[in-house]
Amino acid sequence: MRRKVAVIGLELYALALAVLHFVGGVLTDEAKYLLNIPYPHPPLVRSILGLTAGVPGDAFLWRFLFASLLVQCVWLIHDLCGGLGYYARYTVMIVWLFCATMILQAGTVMMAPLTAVAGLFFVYSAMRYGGYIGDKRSLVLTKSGAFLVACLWLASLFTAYQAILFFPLVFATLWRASISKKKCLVYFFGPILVLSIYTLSNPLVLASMGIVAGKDGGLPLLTRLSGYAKAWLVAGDLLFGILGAIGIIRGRRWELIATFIIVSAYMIVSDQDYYAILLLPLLIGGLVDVFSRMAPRWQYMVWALSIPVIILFALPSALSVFSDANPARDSASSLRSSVPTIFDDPSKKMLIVGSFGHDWEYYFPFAIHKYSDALADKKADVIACVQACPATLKEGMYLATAMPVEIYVRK
Amino acid sequence: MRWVISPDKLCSMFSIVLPTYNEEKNLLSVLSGVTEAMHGMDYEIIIVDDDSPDGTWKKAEDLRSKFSSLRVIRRIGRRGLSSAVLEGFAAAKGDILAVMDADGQHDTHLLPAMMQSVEAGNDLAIGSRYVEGGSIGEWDERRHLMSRAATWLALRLCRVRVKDPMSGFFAIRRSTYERALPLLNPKGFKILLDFLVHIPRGTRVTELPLRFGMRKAGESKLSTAVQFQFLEYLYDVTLGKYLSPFLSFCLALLIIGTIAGIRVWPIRLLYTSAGVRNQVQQELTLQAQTHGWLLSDVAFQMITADNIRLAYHPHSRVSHPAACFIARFSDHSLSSCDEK
Repeated sequence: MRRKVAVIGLELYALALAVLHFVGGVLTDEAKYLLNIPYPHPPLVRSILGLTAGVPGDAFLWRFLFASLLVQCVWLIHDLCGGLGYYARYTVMIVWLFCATMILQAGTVMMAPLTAVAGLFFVYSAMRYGGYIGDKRSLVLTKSGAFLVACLWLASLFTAYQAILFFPLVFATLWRASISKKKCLVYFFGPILVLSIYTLSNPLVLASMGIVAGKDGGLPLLTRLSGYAKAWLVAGDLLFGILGAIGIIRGRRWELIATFIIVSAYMIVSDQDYYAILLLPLLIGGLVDVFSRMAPRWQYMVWALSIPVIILFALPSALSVFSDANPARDSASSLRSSVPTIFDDPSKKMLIVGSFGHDWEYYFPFAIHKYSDALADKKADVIACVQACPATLKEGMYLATAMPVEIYVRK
Repeated sequence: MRWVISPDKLCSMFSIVLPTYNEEKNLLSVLSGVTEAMHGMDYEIIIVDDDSPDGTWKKAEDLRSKFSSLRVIRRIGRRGLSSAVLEGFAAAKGDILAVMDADGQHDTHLLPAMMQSVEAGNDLAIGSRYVEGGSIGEWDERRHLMSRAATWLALRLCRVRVKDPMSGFFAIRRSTYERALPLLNPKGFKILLDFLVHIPRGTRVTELPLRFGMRKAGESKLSTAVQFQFLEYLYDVTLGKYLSPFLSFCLALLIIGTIAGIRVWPIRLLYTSAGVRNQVQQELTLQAQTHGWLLSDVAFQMITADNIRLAYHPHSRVSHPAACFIARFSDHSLSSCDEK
């Protein structure tokens, strides 16, 4: 009965997280996955998301499912902390559930939270099987367990490329399992090999990686380091981030230390806020180690609940993900109310002038084209001027009123 | 229901195996129950303990002075109910071998009837919760549903028709056990199911009504890991006979790799020829600018030294038709794939 109540409570929390993010509408990266746009990540999850692209409320459904998955993962931590005391166990669970990065990302339709789920599973496998938790020897991973880890490894790699960052944990877990070393190598390298072949089949992925690397390469080191510090702050709520890092180092698990270094290096190089959640499972692993050596008191639970609130309000920029301004959504909705008939015919052509995101593709049913000078004399049915539109484009069009972005519709 | 059997009607020796793990508190009452039920018969009780942290094996050793027919096997470094049962059977001297749980949920008074049933000519006698007169006791709805679902799945695999293949309470003729032994897969906790999957068709099996009792003390062993082991067992005795998890993993890799490889081959020039790569880049940029395409809406189908064959498919929540084009490097022309 208690477990049922806990599961329902967690679902309500997941619902709240989904609603929080729903307010801001679908963002460009989310639209990319919801529409199954074939980059930057491999196809496993995005192709499933793409199946519901035409279903009303699809974004909310996936927000809720992703948030549910993340919060229900707390049972893994519950199991992992089975040998720890009451306060230790529940403090670690609270850190997972209520840390700032969870609040900021659990209700998004992004791949980083899914990678964090896989990461937590890998941390769990590495600590639960073949290692030590505190002074207690843990279990040996069976053949079937190794098979499961390998399947998750394959699935996580085909969900998002960043899952590769957790390779030391996966390798260590498989290496210690009761399987032959040959099988271990196949389980570990096989998925990487097929992912490489898949990547060659989709040059857009390679091109987008090149573009992103080029953009990130121009950032000064100080900006990157401050970005990482911020990510570390929201992932570990300062206190638990420090404790987690101490646990990672003091635990002397080379696989956890190596993964922590690799994930941190990647975050410094790529400088994206949403990668903060990748640190969370590693810090959880570190916390488990720390709490197996020291018994925290009830105050830790209070801190785990209160620090995220302070951090979120101290970092107003982090809260921008909850902004309810979404030009693409607001433009589509205003156009729908002022010129409703235009949405009856999705075969119409829409031209967008200026830089725009995939959210425009999500909110408008038309085939969207990007303006270039070569299209100056081409006829479009709808034109969105994200930047100033050339006068020639506006000929034969009228300006729709009360739009967040200038939108012209053919007369 | 109480079974009253006259001991003089039974002449075989019986071995009753009790696999245990953390059952220290239940041991005395279960052993007393078995001793009472088997009074006057030739029998032995074998406790096979998986080195319980609560010291069940120690308690059992201590109880040997009280129960002369008791033998104890302490397994160190080995775990699992099915393998414990088989280890008990291997050590048993009896002509008829029985298994029951040591948590007090199995009615010890059913033992003589099971023994008599095997002596009378049956190869296997099962204490069944699902025959008339049997019951599942006070299980909650969730566990009941889980048990029914597991039973339904298990029944598909059995070579002999029974109603409760998941029972942990049964007696088996030694010769039947020995015939099935080389085929067994002692994984998980359902050794009876393993027998039912591997005994020859036509084996005589009877089911006796069992009213499932409440656990007297301690915790249930029905963990998520045990449920997973059951699914793993089902896989082993079905698909696993032909394809091990490792082989199925390799097969999945091969299929994914082949599909991806088939898509890479027509565009291999992109990676093998720097000249073609530059031309593709220029051509694609030109065509995208000319037609306002978003690059994410374009996919390469084939790349040759002269042209690119590409698919254009706008992404949207509404389905748009995909179009196929051929872009030529020489004159930068774009034509539909349907045109000659």
